[in-house]
Amino acid sequence: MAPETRSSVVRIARLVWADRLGRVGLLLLAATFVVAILGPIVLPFDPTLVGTSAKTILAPPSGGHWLGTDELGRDVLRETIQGAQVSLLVGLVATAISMLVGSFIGIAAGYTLGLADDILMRLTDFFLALPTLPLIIALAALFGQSTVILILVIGLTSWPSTARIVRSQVLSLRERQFITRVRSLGATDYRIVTSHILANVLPLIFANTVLVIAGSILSEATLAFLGLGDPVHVSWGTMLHFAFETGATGRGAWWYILPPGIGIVVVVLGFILSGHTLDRILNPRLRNR
Amino acid sequence: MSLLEVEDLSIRFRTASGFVRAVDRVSFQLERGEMLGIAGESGCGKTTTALALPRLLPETAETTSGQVRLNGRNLLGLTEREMERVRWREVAFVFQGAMNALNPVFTVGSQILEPIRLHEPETSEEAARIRADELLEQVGIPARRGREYPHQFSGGMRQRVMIAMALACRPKLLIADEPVTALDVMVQAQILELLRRLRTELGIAMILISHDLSVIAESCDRAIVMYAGRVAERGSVETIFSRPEHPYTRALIGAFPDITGERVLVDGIPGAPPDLRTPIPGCAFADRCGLVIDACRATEPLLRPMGDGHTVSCHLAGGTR
Repeated sequence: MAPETRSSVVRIARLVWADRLGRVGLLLLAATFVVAILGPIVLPFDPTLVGTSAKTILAPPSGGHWLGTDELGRDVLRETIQGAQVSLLVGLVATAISMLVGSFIGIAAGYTLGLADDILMRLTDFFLALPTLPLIIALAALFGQSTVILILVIGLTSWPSTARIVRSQVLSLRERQFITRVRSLGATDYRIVTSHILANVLPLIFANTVLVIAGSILSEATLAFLGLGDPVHVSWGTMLHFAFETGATGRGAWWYILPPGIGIVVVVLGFILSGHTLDRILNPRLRNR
Repeated sequence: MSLLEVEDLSIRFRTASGFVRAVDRVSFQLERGEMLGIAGESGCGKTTTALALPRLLPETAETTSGQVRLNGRNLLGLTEREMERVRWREVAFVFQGAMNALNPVFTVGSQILEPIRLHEPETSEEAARIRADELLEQVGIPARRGREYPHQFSGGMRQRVMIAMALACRPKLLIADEPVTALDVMVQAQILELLRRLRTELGIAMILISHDLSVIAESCDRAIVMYAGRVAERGSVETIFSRPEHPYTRALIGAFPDITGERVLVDGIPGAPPDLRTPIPGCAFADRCGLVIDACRATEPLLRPMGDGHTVSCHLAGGTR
């Protein structure tokens, strides 16, 4: 099925591109990814390269520093480019965890039903009710501030909605006739789930993923802004945190606040626009709305 | 030895309101390459009988008596593992409403190969693909269309695909449950034509289940008419249609318009089949039968041979009436 899958990804990308908002979303995403992947190679950021004199601290944009400097005299442009990479990395990896856990639990619960379903759904409710913020503050206190902890916490608190959506779809799929047919062929449950059920929920998981990425990036920004980010791997949230902490706002250092802020908006908007378009394409009932 | 011998098969279902006797001492035989039709109205036990042969009944069903011998081997005595090897490789089936049983996200060709992948895993990918093309051509679909998805197929074509799928492991017996129901008349004729052709070309024996007597009259060699889980009449198609002995068979035939005759309202059969939760002492059809006599309610009519393999379960059969 590999070539089929690849061609369908291309086909779906084309469909998203055909939509006006979807195209804006794809362009925003493409720009972000280019900056995040190529940017650090062209304009590498060295967090230890701090300013040497008072004049280089929070300096406004100039020929040497196009977007000025931060409170330590570091180049804001390079820092923002570096931040794109961290923000995207956290967003993507956390979403991957969330999707894997959510899909697995959703499919397992919806397909097996009975006691296993009850247990898994109560577990889902538990995680749904878990307050993210206090949890990460507690975890950061226990394990220190690190990007890995941030990824894990975002990933492990955002899967319940996916699990619920996937489960409801599997509940309907498992009663469909082709499942009965495959079962009469003597296929094992494992085969039924990994081939027939999975192939049918994949579009749903895929559309959901794009929207969850936006949420994960926002969560990362929120948590980092509150000072729970990794100070070594500077993300946009971390930049905003330090900008706020060192009084960049009060000193009118807009060049320190706007770049990470715009960055977050661009990425999140990119994912949301393409995500909604994708959702509309994959879910025909939402068309023409 | 016949290909299939069903002897005294009885099946009941556990329900909240007690046992329902769905199949009651049904016996029949099927020769190699023969086409047998099972007719009867809804709930008469056609599908239950058919599903019992490959042992695909739901868990609430219980086989209380009988034997199902395929090539002399009693299938009801096999373990589930042994049964797995019989299904699809010896007995294949096309389920009721099968044409809706294709997974919408996989190509038709890849789904036809599923029985081979599951039952003959030693087959190479290349050989399997060639087989899929062959199977599609066999049921009259151009091989290239195997790369398309089910929604690109019409109902008739999907039914052809299901038949191709059933043939994938070269079975000796094909059970088709209502294979042409919900198809329009032209497509029905084409599918029946296909089944007849496959039977001559491949020498497969077939059991065709239908509530539509004309479907059976058109395709089968022999027919069984079932009523309330019992065999009412059994014989060659010619006999059943030209000289039906059981009042139920006659009523069923009377319920079809004669296209060469005058335009008349067809006769329905008043009443409904009996409640199978309670034992029926006499003839199951007694309450709906116009010819009912006292003996009908008192004693159950047993199947009586009328010559030429024609058997009827009616007290009045063969009489002068």
